[in-house]
Amino acid sequence: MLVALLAGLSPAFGQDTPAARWEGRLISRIEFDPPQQPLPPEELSRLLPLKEGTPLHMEDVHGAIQKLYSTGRFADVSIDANQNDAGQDGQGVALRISTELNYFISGVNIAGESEPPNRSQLITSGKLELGTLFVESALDQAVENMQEKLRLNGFYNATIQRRVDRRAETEEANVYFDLDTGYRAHFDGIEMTGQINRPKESAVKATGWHRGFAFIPVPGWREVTENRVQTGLERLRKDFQKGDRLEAKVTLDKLDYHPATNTATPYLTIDSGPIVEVRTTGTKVSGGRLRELVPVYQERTVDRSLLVEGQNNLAEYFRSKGYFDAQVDFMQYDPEPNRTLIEYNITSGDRHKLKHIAITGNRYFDFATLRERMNLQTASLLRRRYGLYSERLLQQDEENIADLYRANGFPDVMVTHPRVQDAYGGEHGNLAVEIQVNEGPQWRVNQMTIEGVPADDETYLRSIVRSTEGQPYSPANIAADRDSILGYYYNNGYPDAQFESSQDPAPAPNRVSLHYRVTPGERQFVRGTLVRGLETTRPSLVASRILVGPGDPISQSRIAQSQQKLYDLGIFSKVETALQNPEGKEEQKYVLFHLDEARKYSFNFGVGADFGRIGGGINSLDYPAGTTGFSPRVSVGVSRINFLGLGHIVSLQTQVSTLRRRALASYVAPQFEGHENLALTFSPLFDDSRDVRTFSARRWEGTVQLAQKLSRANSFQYRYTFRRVTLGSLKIAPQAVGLLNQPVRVGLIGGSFIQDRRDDPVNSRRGILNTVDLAYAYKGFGSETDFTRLLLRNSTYHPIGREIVLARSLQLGYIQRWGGLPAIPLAERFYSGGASTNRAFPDNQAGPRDTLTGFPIGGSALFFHSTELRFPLIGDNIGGVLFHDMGNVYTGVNTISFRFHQQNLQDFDYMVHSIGFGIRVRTPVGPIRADFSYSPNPPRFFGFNGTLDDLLKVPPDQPLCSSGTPSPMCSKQRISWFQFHISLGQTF
Amino acid sequence: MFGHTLVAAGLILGLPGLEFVFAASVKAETLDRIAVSVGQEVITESQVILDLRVAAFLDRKPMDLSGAAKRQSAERLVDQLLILREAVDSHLTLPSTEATIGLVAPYAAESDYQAELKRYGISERDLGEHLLAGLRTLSFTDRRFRPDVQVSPEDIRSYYDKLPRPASTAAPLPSFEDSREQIEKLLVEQGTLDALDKWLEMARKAANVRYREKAFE
Repeated sequence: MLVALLAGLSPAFGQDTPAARWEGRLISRIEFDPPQQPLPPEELSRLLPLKEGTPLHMEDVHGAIQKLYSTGRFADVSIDANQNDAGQDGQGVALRISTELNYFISGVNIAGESEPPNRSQLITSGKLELGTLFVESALDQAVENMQEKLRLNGFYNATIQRRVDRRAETEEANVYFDLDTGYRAHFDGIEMTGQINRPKESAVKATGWHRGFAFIPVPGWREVTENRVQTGLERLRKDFQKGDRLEAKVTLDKLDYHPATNTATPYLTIDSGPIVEVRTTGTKVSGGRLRELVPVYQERTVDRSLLVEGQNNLAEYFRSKGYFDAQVDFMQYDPEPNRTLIEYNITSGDRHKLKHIAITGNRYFDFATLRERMNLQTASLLRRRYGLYSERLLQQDEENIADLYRANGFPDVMVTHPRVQDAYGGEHGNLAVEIQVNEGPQWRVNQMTIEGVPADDETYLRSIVRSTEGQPYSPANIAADRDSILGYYYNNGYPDAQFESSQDPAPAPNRVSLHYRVTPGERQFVRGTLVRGLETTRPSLVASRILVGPGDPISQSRIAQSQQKLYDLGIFSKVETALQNPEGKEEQKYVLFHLDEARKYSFNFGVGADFGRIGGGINSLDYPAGTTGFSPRVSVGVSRINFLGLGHIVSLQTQVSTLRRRALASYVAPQFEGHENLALTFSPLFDDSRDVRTFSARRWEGTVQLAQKLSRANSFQYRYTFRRVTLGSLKIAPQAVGLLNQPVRVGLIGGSFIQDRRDDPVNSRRGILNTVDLAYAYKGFGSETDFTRLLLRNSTYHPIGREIVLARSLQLGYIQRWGGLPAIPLAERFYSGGASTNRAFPDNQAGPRDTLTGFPIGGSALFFHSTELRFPLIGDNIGGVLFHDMGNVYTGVNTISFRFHQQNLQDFDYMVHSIGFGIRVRTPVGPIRADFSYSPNPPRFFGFNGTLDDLLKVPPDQPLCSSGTPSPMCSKQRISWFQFHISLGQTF
Repeated sequence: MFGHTLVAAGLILGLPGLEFVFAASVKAETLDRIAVSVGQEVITESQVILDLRVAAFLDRKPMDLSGAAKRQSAERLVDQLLILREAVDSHLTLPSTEATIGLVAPYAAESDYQAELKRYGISERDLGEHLLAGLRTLSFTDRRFRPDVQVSPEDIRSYYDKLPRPASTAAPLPSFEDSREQIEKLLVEQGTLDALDKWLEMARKAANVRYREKAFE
């Protein structure tokens, strides 16, 4: 019996599994180990297929592990069962879910670096990405990478200590690297092998690795840095490439480090290569132009594709110069060993002018709209004397026009050029191009459906898509709709949103039914924001700039906006943002902001000069209208950003020149009190200047200003200013000196409104600029004199065609005295004229003048109007301007006059005109401006022939200078008919 | 293993109650844990053991739940997961459940078959899924890698030339022409497997495969 049993039975492998033992038992309790988990209990409960009070299924155990692991927040998960007497049969089970946390990089911090490499370069080399899973082994790699970066920069003995701060509650790993770079190695020589066809000293000098100042060698070698090594190699390569050795190569084989001396020797291999000569036959091309057009010079290698590119460039160049039939071919051969000759044979043909472009067959788009998209240009007098035409450009234009039609529902459009007419208008060489458009039918959307989205979303999506019912049907519109729809979902917490489109013909002809299918996917929300990297900045300052918060849908655009706002504070050199655990499938995620505070102090130093009619004696009465002079200038400044960790800026700017000494301190609270549209500024000023030639003014001033940005175009400035001005060296009639040379205290309250709708403030082509500046000086504000001051400006810009701009500007100013001192203090009056108002005058030379000395004494009203025609002159970077300025500074508002003629030498209340020509040279910092003006009616006036002492001797009641019988001490003078002005930026 | 012995002894001694005694005596144990993670996906210890059970059932061999066997099974499951993931991403049409019918060697009676399933602790569904995964893996390998394997006449000739010649003339080596087709098939097979191995090596590197040693103790 036993034998039979033994024979019939074999081991049962399936009876001892957990499944067999626990399957179906009632789950009485589920607990976590550790009890504190990174996911909130409700989210855990939602995730787990295991529920208390339900039977246990092993399938759910596996599912729970998978679900928890998929969140990305756990490194390991296991589930234990404990017997429990719950349930009907007393065979319940308590589950314990044990987890091991994952950690994510929340910041990489470097200390002890010595630039180069800078902190950012070291962090980049570490390759530890913010928000991603922290893996211990990645630290070793990061240290190794940083060591390599340091070695490349001469730090061969650098040591790196690392430390990781972990926060279990948010699963953050903040990584710190403390560097001890040691001393940077120096070069100690160069070892070169290969074809070195020059003295070694010359090669060493070319690298710049040996110390030296210009051509004077200095003993010793420079420090090793990555940039210096690369620059040195590049310079040496260029040096060897001189003399048409275009393919010369310089290779760094190794940088041999010597620990005993902390020096490194570069081992270089030089291959000077053959002489490569490029020449043209048929037509001469300058060497510089050839270097520009034939890419073998830039690429430093010779191959067929580069030679063909050079061939095309040369042909295109000649065609752009009017040789529209230009043909270029080339041959390459080696006339002797180690010498390669590349010969471009150019047949330029006759020169043409593109005189006329015609477009026919276009009904949907007008001629101007199509021309805007074309490269061909007809000949014009100044800019392109022969126009711009080539077969390639013509084809490109045809394609551009066809694309425009296709994007607007004309899939069958055909654009051709039936003929290019030579001898247009009967003149040989004149070309006319006719482009023919065959539009074909326009296809429109008959019906558009959006599936897979809630009704509310659909209403919104319909408002942002282009391909609605009746609109043109085009792939371009569908692509734009796709971007709009996905952009909407990506910014509302659906990172996995998908979009599909399909279409089928509608019953009506040329109509299409369009179907959009959107799959939003799982929505993700912000669990919280983690701000790391702050050292001195107050957290509240940062928190108020972050636009995402717990519970919000994750929006990449809002994260990017927050990043921009933080950059706008101007106190961070780097603002990194990332989602923590980006790959994890969890409903809520942390948004990380890692901030790198910028250096606290910055210094600036500048030298410059004023050149113009600024000269004349300081202590004499010569040249009341100024004479050509030169004033060198030095400026030094220091700024401290992020003062007290509040994001405020404290700065001091000083300037010294022969015309001015100035120190301006300022305390700026940008984004005041968290309002990004407000900025509060306190600025004390000391200024000792004589830019108005009549006097020197020493000014102590304090200003408090609150700037408010109302919209992109409109802003207000509210301010209170208090100043005390002391005048000296007055060059006016002695009887007025006593009245005007007293120190004056002025307290002003006022504001400005600025409306700026210009397309480009530096070089405006269209738009409008309005400013209103109003100030009120009153004894209640600490002023010794009461007056109001109003200054209005209106400038408009009008494009004429594609390249010409008509710009005009009007300025009106008015000062009204209300009480206090008997006259408006000299320093508070309007002084104007010059480069930015009326170019008939040198700077600050407009308006009333002292009747005895002829020096300007300012006015209480001003009126200026300028008109400019701005046009391209030579190429793309040099423009020209024709201008007319008119206006003056007047004694009072009631004396503003448009009168052309000056009535007598003591009449200054008339309209001075000037016309002229200017040149604008485009530079990265704005156009450099040179204006030459002629005035048909510059002011004439009496000057004083004598010294300041002589002036004091003049009896107060004697009419020394009058039109009738002027004293010999009076001389008739005038502002020159011709003026020149050189400055930066457009006039207005 | 100790459980095995007790249960087997219980059966042998005709003491089925011992099984229950053993089960009831277990107060606490690990139900399941991660054995391997492949990116965001996991293969649990229970899956590894199930794979070993099904394999043993199909081979009609005793079960081996040693650490080495578990490790081998986990490796196989990782490969299978990577292949099936790639197959889904490539939108390949894969064999369906019906394809597994008839793959298991027939049993004398249905009751024998069910008894064997029970003995190995697996269900018909477990078996079907195991077979389906295997079929799909084979299908993907065949369609993805086989078309790229090129075997030239020189390769076939070279293989044939390197075949060991039998010592006796009684059973001579078939002629080259007679062997050509078979050699070509063999070389294609070999090339396919080589390509699969290369691909798996790369896929494993990219997928962040991490083993938890505790599951293989």
